[in-house]
Amino acid sequence: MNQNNSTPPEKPEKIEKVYRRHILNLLVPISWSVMVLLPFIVVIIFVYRLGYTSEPLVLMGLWLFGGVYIIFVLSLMMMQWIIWYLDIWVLTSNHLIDTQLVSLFNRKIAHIPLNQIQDVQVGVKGYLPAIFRFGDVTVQSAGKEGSFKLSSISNPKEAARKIRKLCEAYQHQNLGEAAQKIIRPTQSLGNILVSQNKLSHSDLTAALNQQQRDGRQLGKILLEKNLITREDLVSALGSQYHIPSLDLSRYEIDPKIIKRMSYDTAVRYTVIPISQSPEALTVAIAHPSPETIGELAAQMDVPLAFMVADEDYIKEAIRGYYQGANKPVSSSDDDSPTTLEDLGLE
Amino acid sequence: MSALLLTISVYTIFVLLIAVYVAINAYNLVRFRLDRLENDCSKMMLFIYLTVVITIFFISIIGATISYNL
Repeated sequence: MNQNNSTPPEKPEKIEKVYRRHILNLLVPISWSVMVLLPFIVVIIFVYRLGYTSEPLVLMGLWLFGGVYIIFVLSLMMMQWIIWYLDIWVLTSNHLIDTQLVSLFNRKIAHIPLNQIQDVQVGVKGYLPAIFRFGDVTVQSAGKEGSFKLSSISNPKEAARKIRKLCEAYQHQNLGEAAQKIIRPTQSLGNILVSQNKLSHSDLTAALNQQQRDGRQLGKILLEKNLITREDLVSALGSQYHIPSLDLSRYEIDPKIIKRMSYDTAVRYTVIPISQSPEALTVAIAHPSPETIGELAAQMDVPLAFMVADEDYIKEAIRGYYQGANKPVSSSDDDSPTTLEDLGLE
Repeated sequence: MSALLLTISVYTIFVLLIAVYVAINAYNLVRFRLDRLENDCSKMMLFIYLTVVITIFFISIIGATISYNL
């Protein structure tokens, strides 16, 4: 049962900024390439000093092989330029893409979704970087890519600021969309149980008093006192947050669906994926507050639909389906970012 | 005459090797360039590079011919 019948359209991905290494990183290898001309200059001086310029064959050889040698040096410089020019980092509204021409015929492309970026650090080391204002930006991600290093880029602090700002905007956007699907409760859990005739006013008052003393959740207190059943609690939570409820004890989950979410995420949010439809991944959640929903939606790359289920059943299902091991499962990213295709990188 | 033939033969081999190197550079630039980015100058650089290479090649041929016949 999915609450959502349609998913909101994704916002188009836009290229925000393109970063390349500072021009000084190109001048140094090109300078070395120019130094390769020195042997040729030495040969010319040698030929003139020894008086071989009167020999037509020697002169002809100088012209011919000199031309080839100069083309060789020029090609060396061109190769350095190509590697510098095609080594770029593209910051879009949804991803950070690293494309590197590692060497001739060897290109590497990697990308991190912005919602997986955990930390952005700036490093400026040495007097040349300090004078010419270039440095490294290291981006730590939670994905399989690990970390990206934007090496020797201009204004690294500005770049880091921009990356952080886009990460926040991306997460806030996802937070907004997901949280909108969950209506903030207008009635308290206790009042809902009383209105459903599952609980009396006096029992509710006693439980609320205990909640004030202990600081624990009302639902747990009511369950401990056997005032309500698990089904009553789950049904009331569903009514409170206007999402369907589910008896997870009678639900069999396809193990392939489990892989859509990592063990860490499941444990952190007390949530488990239960089914997949073309529109969304349906998950059973124990605490469906808008804040929890928003954080979870920001973690996952796919649209989510929610159903409320008993917390203990969810924990038991997590233990059973994840087989007691931390199995970090990378979130599915089957849809290639359109930006890579748009850039002609695929 | 044999020295001339030898020089030309060796020169031809070097020219072929350099031509392969130039072709590799051109291929990498054409294959991996990101022409959909704004301000992409790879096409212009490729044009300049090939023009300069061909110019140097012809200048060296002409210079060698003139210096041999002088």
